Amino acid sequence: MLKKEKKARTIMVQGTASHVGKSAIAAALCRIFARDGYRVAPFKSWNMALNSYVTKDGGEIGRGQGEQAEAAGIEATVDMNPILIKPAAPGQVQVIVRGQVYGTLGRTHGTEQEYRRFCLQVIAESLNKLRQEYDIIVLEGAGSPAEINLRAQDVANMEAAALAEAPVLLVSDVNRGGAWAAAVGTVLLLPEADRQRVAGFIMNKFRGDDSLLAAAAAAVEKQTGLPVFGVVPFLEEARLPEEDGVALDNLPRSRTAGDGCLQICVLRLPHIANFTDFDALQAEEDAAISFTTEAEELAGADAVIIPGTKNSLLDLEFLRRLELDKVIMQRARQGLPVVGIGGGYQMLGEKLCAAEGSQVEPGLALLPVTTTFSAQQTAGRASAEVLLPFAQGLRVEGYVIQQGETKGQGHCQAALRLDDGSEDGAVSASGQVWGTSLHGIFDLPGLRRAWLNTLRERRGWQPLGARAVEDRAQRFDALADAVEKAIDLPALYRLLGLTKEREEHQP
Amino acid sequence: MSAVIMIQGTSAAAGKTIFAAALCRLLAEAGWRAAPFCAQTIGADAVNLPQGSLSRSQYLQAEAAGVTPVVEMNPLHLQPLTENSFRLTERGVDKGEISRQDYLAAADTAFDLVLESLQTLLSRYELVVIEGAAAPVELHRPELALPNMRLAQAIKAPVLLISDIDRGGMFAYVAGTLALLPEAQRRLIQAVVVNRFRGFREKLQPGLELLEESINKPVIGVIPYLNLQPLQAADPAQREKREQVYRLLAETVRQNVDLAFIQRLLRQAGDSQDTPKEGDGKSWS
Repeated sequence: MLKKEKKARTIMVQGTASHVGKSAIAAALCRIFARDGYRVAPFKSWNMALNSYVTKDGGEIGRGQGEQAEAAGIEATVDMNPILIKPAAPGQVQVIVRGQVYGTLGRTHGTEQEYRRFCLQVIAESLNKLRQEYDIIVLEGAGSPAEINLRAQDVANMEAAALAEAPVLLVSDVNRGGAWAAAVGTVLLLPEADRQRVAGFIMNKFRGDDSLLAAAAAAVEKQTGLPVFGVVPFLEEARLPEEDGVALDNLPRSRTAGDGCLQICVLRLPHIANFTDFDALQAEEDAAISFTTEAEELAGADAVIIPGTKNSLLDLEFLRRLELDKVIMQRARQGLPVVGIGGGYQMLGEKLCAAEGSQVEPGLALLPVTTTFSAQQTAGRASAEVLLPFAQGLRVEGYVIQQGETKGQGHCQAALRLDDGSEDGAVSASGQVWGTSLHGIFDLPGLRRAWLNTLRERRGWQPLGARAVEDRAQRFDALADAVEKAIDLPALYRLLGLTKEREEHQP
Repeated sequence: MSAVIMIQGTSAAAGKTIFAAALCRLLAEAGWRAAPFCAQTIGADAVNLPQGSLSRSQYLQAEAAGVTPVVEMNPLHLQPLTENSFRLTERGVDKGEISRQDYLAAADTAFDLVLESLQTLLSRYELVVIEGAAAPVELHRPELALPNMRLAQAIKAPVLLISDIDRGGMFAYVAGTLALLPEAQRRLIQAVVVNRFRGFREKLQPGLELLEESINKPVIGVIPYLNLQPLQAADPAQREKREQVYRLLAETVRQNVDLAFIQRLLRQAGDSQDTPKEGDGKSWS
């Protein structure tokens, strides 16, 4: 057994840019090491993410670490992403420390240096705690370590690697193009001490003819003196939940409306949050999801969803500015199904009252509810019984992150009955408009299918049966299999000072 | 030979097309007859012209330049069919499926067609704005040599390297691209243009200075992030919308890129006869 005074071995995944697939590679490594018998935990010191994961004890961390913990077969804790940064309004960024709201960036500490010192201390504490409890920690960086104008502020990449004494695998995105250059350039621009930490490269998202890869890898090795540990193909399994809005802006449209597809528009709000809510819908064969603010597209949609937002009031103002509020209200009166989740649910209500009491904003008035904001943020997991007419009686699990409270006025049909006996959400008299505070509600296959079938019915299409439930364990295994096949795993174990076969005296 | 300028990118979708379109418009505004050109596009959308199909990018750039789009503006188009084969279009005419090996083996013939097409444009226009394809350093994709550095070397084109900063890693993409190019090709790269920047310019500045020092090339512009919707090239109903975009692009580039630097490059690239001259009334600034 692992002796308590020993520290977990560490390995870190950094990228040459955002969206190179760090999270998926880290998740795959978590899974691979866990399958080999090690106790593995993920760690991302600092994360800027719009999509959150709520831990069992109600802490908010980046979605990626929640997924990676699941891949590692453990319960996620707030130490796995001790600092989470969330843009809340222009020039206003929320700092979440170990799962709880800590304050607004720029106001938590006197100077930038003090803030950085504080971050590094929190990071070191959480990291050390995990290193006591696990055999291997798989760290993930943020963005690129070679942002040479920001090195002095770094707490997410090479500073974290140094704290963890971790060798660094540099992931580069072949699909985007320029990957070999990015790998070489990153190493080239790092200061000597940081460069020493880079152990080698993983070329990711490769598709095409692989006959020339060896020569390319040799050229990079020659230039940098560092090995290419593997070329990972473009994997559908690697489509882990995205963390930020750049992903939305670069979203390929997998399906287009028509051709038997329902067109579902999710409003691309400036402060959109927790848009992983729609990943499962996107995977449905008969749903074409677009994130949009085009009035024409909304008017022609089969359904409109107003997603979660970090700032319901500002995003409501945004809708008014584009006059999308009118489009939605008018089309909803004509029977267009409209759904609101989280902040989007708040916007569907009659009134939104600011915390200070003075400001009262009218909502879209499609649901008879009122939201009163407070400074306090509540986060937690919840399970409930579905009261929505099309999926009555189903059981659903999800999570809630909200500022303020949304309450029904007078008689109002709720959407869910939570297990603590309280009710959540609302349904319009017609049943076409509904909203809930619960994120993750579309992850429930039965509910998702039942809702899509109501849209199909409006078109006069036959309903479809629910797809087989996605087996998340299988998906992580497929991802791990593909990555294990593509990379030089023994070399990674050598970096860790371990072997594939876990021995009793290890680490 | 008239003057040319070439835009290459550090990755796919770095912003080559819109930057070239902006240059086309700016040159047109300054009174030049400028034409766009891309030797070989890959997987691009096409627009149908009377002579055949033309890549959407060059169609839009021609429109921005105020010149008639012709198939010579994109002599070669490869539409990937499988991992190892393409459908080849030559000057707008479908030539059917070709394997990568066969295409590469016949690269010299294809290159002759490219030079011939470019020559046609150079005889009709004063300036040609050449767009590269994807990135010049794609070690596993030899088919990208032709539209990037092979062409640049053959015609000694001054090259501007554009890089997308929005996804992060811009400094590394630029430094690595230059590091992996052979010296003869690296020499052709005259300057770097940063694209899709959002944030505080003064925070970026020290990084740009470090980069310039490291690569020994100037950064001649930082273009801000523009949230542009894809343009429908063939749709006449959207002509006015496109016109607005060309104007916006030109204005944005005018305000954020050192056009005098580019004008000097054009002057050096042309021979004495056709060279843009100072004081000829076709100045940018």
